[in-house]
Amino acid sequence: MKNSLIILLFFIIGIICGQFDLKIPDYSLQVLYLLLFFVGISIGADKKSWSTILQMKHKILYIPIITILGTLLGVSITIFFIKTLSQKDILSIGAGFGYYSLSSIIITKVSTPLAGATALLSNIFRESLTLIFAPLIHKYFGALAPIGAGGATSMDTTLPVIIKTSGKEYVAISIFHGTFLTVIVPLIIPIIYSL
Amino acid sequence: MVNIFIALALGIILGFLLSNKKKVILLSEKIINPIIYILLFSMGLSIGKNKRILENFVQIGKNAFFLAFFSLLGTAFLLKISKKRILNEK
Repeated sequence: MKNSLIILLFFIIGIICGQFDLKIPDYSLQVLYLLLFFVGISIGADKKSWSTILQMKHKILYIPIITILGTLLGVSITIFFIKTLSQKDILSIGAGFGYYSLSSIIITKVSTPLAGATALLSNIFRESLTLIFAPLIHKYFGALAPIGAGGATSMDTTLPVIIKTSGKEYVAISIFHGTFLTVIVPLIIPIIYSL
Repeated sequence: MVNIFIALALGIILGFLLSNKKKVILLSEKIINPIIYILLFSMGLSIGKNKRILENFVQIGKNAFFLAFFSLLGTAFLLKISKKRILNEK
C-alpha cells in the first residue's frame, strides 16, 4: 500500500510538471527496456519461484490460467460500452492483473498515454477492491475467488486478506498464483498488442 | 515491441546464470523501484501535457473502475464454477 502511494505521488508530480512547458528530454523508452531487463534478472534469479512452479501439481497450475481467462472474459464485456479505448487496450489493461506499475508503463509506451493512465488506475482499483471486498468475494464465489481477484498481488499485498478469508491452507496456492501472474504480465501485454 | 521481449529475455537468462551471485541480484532488485518511479513520473509528464486526458479524467476514472470490476467478476465467476474440479482431484 505504501509503495502504491509513492508511485501515485510520482505520477501526480509528473502531471503537475507537465502543465509547465519544461524541456525535459524523454528517454522513457530506453528506461523501460532497462526496467524490463532488471525485472528479467529478478525473475531468472528467483530459483525459489521456479521450483515452486515446477513442484506444483497440474491442477494447481490451472488456477492462474483460469484467472487469466476470467479476467479477459470479464473485461471483454466492457468493449460494449467503453468506446474511448481499443479492444487491445481493454484486454491489455485487464492483463495487468493488478501489477499496476509495470502494466501501465508498458501500455503507455506500446499504446497511448490515455490507455496507460486507465491501466494504472484500473489495476490499483483491482488491488484495492480485493483488499476491501475479499470477504464478500469469498462468500459468493468460494475460497479460490479472492486469490484470483488479487491477481499478481496475491503473492504480496493482498496475501494477508486472502489468508484471513480463504484460510491458511491456501497460502502456497496464493503465492504460486501471484508469482505466475507477475511473470506473465510483461509477456502477455506485448503479445496482445502484436496480435 | 520485439525489444521488450529481448530486454526481458536477456534479463531472465542473465539472472538465471548469476543466481548464485546474491549481491548482484539484490542490487538489481533494488534498482527496480527507483526506475519505476522515474517512469511513472514521465508517464505523468506525458499525461500532464495532454489536455484531452486531463479534461476527461472523470471518464478515465469511470472506465478504470468498470475494467477492474469486470476483471474481478469474470475471475471470481470462472473460479467458482471450476473450483470443485480443481480441488477434488488434487
